[in-house]
Amino acid sequence: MRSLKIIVFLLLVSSMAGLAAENPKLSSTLSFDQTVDRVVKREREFVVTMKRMHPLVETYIQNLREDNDHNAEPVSDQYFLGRLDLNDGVRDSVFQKQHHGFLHHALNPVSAALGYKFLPQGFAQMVMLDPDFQKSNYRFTFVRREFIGEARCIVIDVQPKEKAPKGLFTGRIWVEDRDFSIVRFNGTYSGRADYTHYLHFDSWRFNLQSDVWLPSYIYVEESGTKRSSALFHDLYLKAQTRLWAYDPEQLNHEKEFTQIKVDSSVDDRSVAKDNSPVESQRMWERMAEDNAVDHLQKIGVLAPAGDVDKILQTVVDNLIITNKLQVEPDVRCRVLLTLPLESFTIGHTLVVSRGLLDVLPDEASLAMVLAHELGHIVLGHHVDTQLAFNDRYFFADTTAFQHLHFELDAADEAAADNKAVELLGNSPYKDKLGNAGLFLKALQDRSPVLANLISPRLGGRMVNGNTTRMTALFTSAPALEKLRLDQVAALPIGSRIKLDPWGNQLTMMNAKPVALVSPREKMPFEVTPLFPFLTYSLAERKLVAQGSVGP
Amino acid sequence: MRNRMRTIGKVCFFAIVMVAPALTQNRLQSPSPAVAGPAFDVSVGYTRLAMQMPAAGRANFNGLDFSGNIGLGPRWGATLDSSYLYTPEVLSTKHHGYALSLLAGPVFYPVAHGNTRVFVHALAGAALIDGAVPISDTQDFHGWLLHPSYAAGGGLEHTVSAQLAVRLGGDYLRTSFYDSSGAERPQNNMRLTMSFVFRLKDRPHRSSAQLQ
Repeated sequence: MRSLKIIVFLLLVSSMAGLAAENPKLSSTLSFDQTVDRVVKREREFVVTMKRMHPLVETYIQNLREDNDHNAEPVSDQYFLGRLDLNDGVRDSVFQKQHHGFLHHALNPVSAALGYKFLPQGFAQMVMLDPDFQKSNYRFTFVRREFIGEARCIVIDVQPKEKAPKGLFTGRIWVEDRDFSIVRFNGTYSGRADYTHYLHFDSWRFNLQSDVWLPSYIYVEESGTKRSSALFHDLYLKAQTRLWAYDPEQLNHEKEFTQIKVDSSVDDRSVAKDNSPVESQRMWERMAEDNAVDHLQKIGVLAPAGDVDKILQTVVDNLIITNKLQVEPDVRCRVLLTLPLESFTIGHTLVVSRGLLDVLPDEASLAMVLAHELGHIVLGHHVDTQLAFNDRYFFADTTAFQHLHFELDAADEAAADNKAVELLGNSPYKDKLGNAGLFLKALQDRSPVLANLISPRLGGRMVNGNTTRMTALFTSAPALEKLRLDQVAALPIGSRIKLDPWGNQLTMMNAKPVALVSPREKMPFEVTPLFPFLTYSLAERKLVAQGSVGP
Repeated sequence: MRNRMRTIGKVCFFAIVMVAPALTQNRLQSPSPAVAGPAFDVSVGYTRLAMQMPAAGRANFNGLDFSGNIGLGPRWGATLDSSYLYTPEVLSTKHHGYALSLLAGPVFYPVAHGNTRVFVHALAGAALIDGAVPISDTQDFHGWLLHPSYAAGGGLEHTVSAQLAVRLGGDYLRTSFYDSSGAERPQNNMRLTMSFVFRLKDRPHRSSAQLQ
């Protein structure tokens, strides 16, 4: 009888707790109204914080068209990379490969007048829910509580009031209930004009520093009603915006200056310390290489050395060892943080873009990319030693792609292709190159419509018209069969690499493999939504751990 | 007529000068849009013209107006306007008359509120006038004249749904015709137009659901 009473008591207590969880009274101390006050206050603090931040903002847009079977496929694309500045409205100074002058616009008056124009600052704007967030402008409705990763969130619908000004956010927000920071908001801005358009977006913030949640990823999708009409079709697109390089230490080395330690000098007069002409030449070339790598890292487009580099290094070492190569100085691998698919060498440093790593289907395909670049090194295609002079780097960040070029001429590329085939033929990858060739076929298949994705910013082109890199692998590969579920020639964008937006560190994604159920899910080279697993920063975790052991 | 022109000029000038600061302020407060793109529409409607026949009074014409419009910026666009107007009898001459015009030019939208916006346009092109001028009680002069023409005016446009709007406008239309001596004379006409606008790309219609 007593145990029955205990069970009934426990049931009552647990049901009361369940009811409390559903109740808009969100915590034991705060009402929903007070919670909204905290959220608004926190968001206003966020706006002040963001004005001090100048991250890089990369936006990639794919315009879509529906075919007769209602499958949406990209028909064109657009790419922007810029540095965000929120001090005077939203400004996004764009990195341009080429500067289009008046003549360019004058010669394209019809396309300029009749086509949609994507505005980089409009995509960057989506980091902000409302630069002047005021409770009185909105109606807030509690929806539920839910976890996004580690963050326990309060979900709230937010709608502008009738008399509120135009351009306010309308949609849903997710607020983590520890500091009441908005970690995700999903919707659009209200009150659009005739000529300009606000898009629907899903904006995510990551906890990058203790109690600071900063914008990191935005997914944009718009699907018009006239999806297949060739003339006057509506906006029908998918896009992603990524932000990184928040850490101001990436941009200046003042911290290093304050941490300089002078080691005691060592008397090594007995050791030969003069450099031969060959060694001096190598050192000179290495200096040019180091200068370029350091500058690219400083402006935030090259990831600092990290875990992903080690994976690339392993593949390169496999190629070097199995081919019995002697390469001096040693070969290094780095990752360019940008999306366009490219790889190139800076002296003996192999650089592969994040976008290219994302879409490569397997290790053999990666080996193909790296073998081509290693081919340049083995053939002695050296770095431009003008880069050894530091005054060559005194230019605005936004003109980096105009000042730095690492592409080589067609003859060198062809020679590197031949060398790469030779290197791969002696490597452990020699029997797995079918997929690498398929990747090239998929790349060529999509190259007419994804012109911006395949346009390199610093290196050479992987596809040029009807020709691709590594033609030998291309021709020997099996036919591309888009409807075959077991033939995955290329992955969607964002399939492999995870980017830490604060310090630009890259790690491999830890997603479980998923069996495809239809060819539509193959989505090669396509933009897809992102559902990140939100975590609290290490500093925040430490704080919580300290708090939990308190009295 | 000179005074009327001056008045129209002053109204246009003040509309632009007064509205510009308000627009700038609005732009600072609103979020930056992500996409800018042209908006196309075509319209058809009824038009009425009070045509001044040189030294003979005014004749009323009725007809149809067709126009095509393209938005080239948040506040700017271009329009191509054509109208055909007819009267069975010009003044008391027993002659029918018609006016055919084809004009093009920029459109400016200084103010927009909710689903309604104000437009101002300045158009230029050519007009063919077929008419008659009485010389005496029993005699008249009739003929046609194709001559450069221009128009300036404005009006209101109210969006009814995503693809339909109603436009009400009036403008001063300058054409030319002969006077009773056979000399070419300018005509200062007033034209009123009411038309239905069909949008070829959706203009966002602010529904009551969005306002809640």
